[in-house]
Amino acid sequence: MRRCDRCGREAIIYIRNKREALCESCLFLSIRRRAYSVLRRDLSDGDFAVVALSGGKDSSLSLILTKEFVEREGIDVRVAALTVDEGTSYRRASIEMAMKLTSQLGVEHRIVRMKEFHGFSIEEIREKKLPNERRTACTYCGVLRRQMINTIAREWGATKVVTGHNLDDLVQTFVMNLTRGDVSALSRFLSREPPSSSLVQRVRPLMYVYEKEVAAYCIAAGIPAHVGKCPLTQGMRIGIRRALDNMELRNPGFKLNLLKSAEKMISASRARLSEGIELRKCEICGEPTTERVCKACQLKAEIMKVIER
Amino acid sequence: MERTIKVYVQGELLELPWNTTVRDIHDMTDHNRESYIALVNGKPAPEDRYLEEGDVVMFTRITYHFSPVGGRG
Repeated sequence: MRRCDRCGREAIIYIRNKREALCESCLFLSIRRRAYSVLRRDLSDGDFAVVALSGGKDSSLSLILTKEFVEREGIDVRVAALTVDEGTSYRRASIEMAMKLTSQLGVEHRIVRMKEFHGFSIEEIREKKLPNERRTACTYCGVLRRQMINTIAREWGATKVVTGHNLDDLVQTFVMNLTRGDVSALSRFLSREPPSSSLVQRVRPLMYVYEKEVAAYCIAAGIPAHVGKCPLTQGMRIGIRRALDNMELRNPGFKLNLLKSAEKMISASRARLSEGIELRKCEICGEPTTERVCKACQLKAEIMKVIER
Repeated sequence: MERTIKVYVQGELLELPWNTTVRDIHDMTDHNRESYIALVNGKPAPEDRYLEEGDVVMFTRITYHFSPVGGRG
C-alpha cells in the first residue's frame, strides 16, 4: 500500500508536479484550499450564485464546494443549481445524479429543457443530420447551452454563474482560441468583469484543479456524479486534450504553468486585445454579441432550415 | 529466479515482476496516465503504488461530458 505523504493514510493519487502522494482527505483539503481562494475572490455578500450543474463530476464538486464555502464563511450568498437538459439519451443518467445531489444538499434546483427553450433538442438535430458538415454536435450544443445558462440565470436574478471548469478545460480552451486566432475570445478569457451587463459573471472554483484530481476525489468519496463520455463528443478539443496530456506527462506542471502564463499575458494585454471589438445587441434575440447576429441565433437558423425541411 | 506476483489487469490474470507499479501497468496497457485513472481493488490508486499479489487493476477514463467551454473560456 502506498501511504499519503502528508498523513500516512492510504494514498489515492500521485500529484506528479509536486511529487507527492495524497489520501482522500488530504486531496480534498488541497482542492478545497484552491477552490476557496477563487470563491473568496469572486463571491461576496448579497450575491445570488447559480451553479451550472450537469450532474458530472466537475459541476457536482463545484456545487458541493460553493455550498460548503458559503456556509463555512457565513457570507450572505444564495446558492441554487441550474441544469440544462439537451435531450440526449445520455443526459438522463446525469440529470438523475444532479437531482440526487441537490436533494442531498438541500439546494434549490431548476431543470430546463433545450427543446422548450430553443424549440429542438440536440438528439433531434443529430437524427436529422447536422446542418453544417464543418460543425460538430459540440458546437451547437456548447453555444446553445451557454446561451441558455446565461439567459435563465440572469432572468432568475443571478449575480454569478458558478461553473465546473477545471484546469484542463481552461488550458484546452486557451490553446483552441490561440490556434483559431480568436482574439475576441482571448480578450475575454478568464475575465472577471463581464464585458456586458447582460452577461452574468462566471466563477470557476476548480480553475486551478487538475481534472484528474477531481475525478480521483469524486470516485474515492462516492460523490453522486455521472461517469460517462458523451457519445456525440468530437472536434478539435479532443486532439488538443491529447496533445496537452502528453505534454503534461513529459513535463509535470505543464498545464498549470500554461494557465498561469495565459492569465499573466492576457491580463497585461486585455485592453490591446479588445481594441476595436465592440459588443452590441443581437438583432434577433437582443443578447450581447460582437457580430450583427449572435452565434446562437446563427446556429439556430441553420438548425431550423433542416428541421423545417 | 526473479520473484513474481499474479494480478488481474482489466480482467486478465498476469504474472509480473514483484516490483511492478501502477505506472508500469498504465504504460504496458497504453492507458495514458493523464486520461485514465487506475482503480486497484475498486479504489483510485497513485501511479507509484507497488502492486501486490491478487490485486485487481481496472482503468476508468477521466471523462468529459461535452465540450465544456466551447472555445470561450
